[in-house]
Amino acid sequence: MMRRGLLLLLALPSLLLAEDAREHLERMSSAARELNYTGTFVYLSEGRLQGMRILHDVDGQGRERERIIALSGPTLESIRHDDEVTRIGATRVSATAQAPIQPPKTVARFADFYRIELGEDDRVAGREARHIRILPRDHERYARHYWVDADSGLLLRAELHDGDGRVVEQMMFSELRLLEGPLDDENFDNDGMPGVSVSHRRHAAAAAPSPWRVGALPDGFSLEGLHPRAHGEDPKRIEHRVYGDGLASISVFIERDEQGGWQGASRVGALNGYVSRHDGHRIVVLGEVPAATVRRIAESVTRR
Amino acid sequence: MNEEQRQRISALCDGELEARERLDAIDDIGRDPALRDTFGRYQMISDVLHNNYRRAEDHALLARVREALADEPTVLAPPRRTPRFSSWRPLAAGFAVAASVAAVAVVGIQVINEEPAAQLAAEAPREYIRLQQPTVVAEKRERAREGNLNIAPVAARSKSPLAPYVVNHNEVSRIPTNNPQASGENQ
Repeated sequence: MMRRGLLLLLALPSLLLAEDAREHLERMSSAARELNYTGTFVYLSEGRLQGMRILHDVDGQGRERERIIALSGPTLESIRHDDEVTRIGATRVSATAQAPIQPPKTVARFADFYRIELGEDDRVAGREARHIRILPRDHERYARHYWVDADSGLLLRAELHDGDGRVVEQMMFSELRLLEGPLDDENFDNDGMPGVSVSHRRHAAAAAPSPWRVGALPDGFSLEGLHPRAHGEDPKRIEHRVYGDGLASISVFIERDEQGGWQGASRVGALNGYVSRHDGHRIVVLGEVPAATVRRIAESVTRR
Repeated sequence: MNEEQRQRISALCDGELEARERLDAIDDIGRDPALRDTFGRYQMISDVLHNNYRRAEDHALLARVREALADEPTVLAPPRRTPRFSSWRPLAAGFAVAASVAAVAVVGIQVINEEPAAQLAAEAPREYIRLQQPTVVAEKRERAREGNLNIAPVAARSKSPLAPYVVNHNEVSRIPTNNPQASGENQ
């Protein structure tokens, strides 16, 4: 009994740290949406470095507004009012629904599959930052590192690590300004540039019966959305399923494809993809999870 | 840039010009930076209309985009709603926001870097002139002069056959939403 008490006592500091880390995470999720700020950050993926400017506020009506402007490369902007996104300058935009959120989607949901740790204090954009590590408990997902502003709770830096510890995607603020009140409305006007508006209202996972079954999902992943899509002008249906474990997302696309064509593994930035075929259909699986995982999922899709 | 020129560019993007008119339009674009800009935007919209995956029920959006084509520079203003913040917030949605503050823009960047898959381009062949690359315009003009009236799609360069899927994946998995009404429905 005493020995057990001692063990608990020894374990206490690390438990407290984990609790602290969780609090930072909870705060981070609300800070990004509730605070008024402007800042500049860099984003690095696949060896491409991109500078971005972000303006964010909550206006007098409680409406969230965000403008992101690419500072390097092609002219590219997005203006968001709540879940309505207008993109300016992108060569290609798709209008899709947002995956629905399955309650209760809290830290508790992924805590079974990731270890949450508090790292050393650090500094980002000249500000004091808390480093939080979210480490997978198995080989089916990637590690995430967040640096959260000690003062405001805003995310200042983020890294996504693959199974070999390589950083596959990262972003970091170089400058951040917190504002007392909302920005002027003009900051969110799109200057008469015609953009493409996309609504990201959530759609409940459709109950439409599907003849397809995905066999080999890793533990913790559940269906978050089912999106019927059209392919260009062609009414050909594509089934797009989205699975999530609370942090990582995996898409499964199933479409009719008589011709066959390319199959195998591919990688785009932080995403691994695998294309397989089953019963006259092409199956594409994509996600920020290891290559072996997407492959196993792709090969497990069968028709009932 | 006058209205006539604007119309002509719109028609060029829609593939509705005769060979002669097409050459004129391309010449105009080559001379006038404002036209080049307009063409770039029309091309982008045209691209959206023809080359991408869409949700099956998004015809209303397409109609709006088409209207904008006819009536540039109308802004496609998103319908304004006045959602209120709810006290209940799904944390993971917050993660999506925070962990990929960059995501909204990144989708676009990936899109730019990953040209459409050759197969998709073949299914919806379009003229596609990248204005950032004047050499391509010049090359296409030469080809047009040679009497090749059906300008082949030059969008078929592809870095990844997965590009269109990536766009769709990112759209549903990484773009933040915080519509409390929707999250309420799911509770």
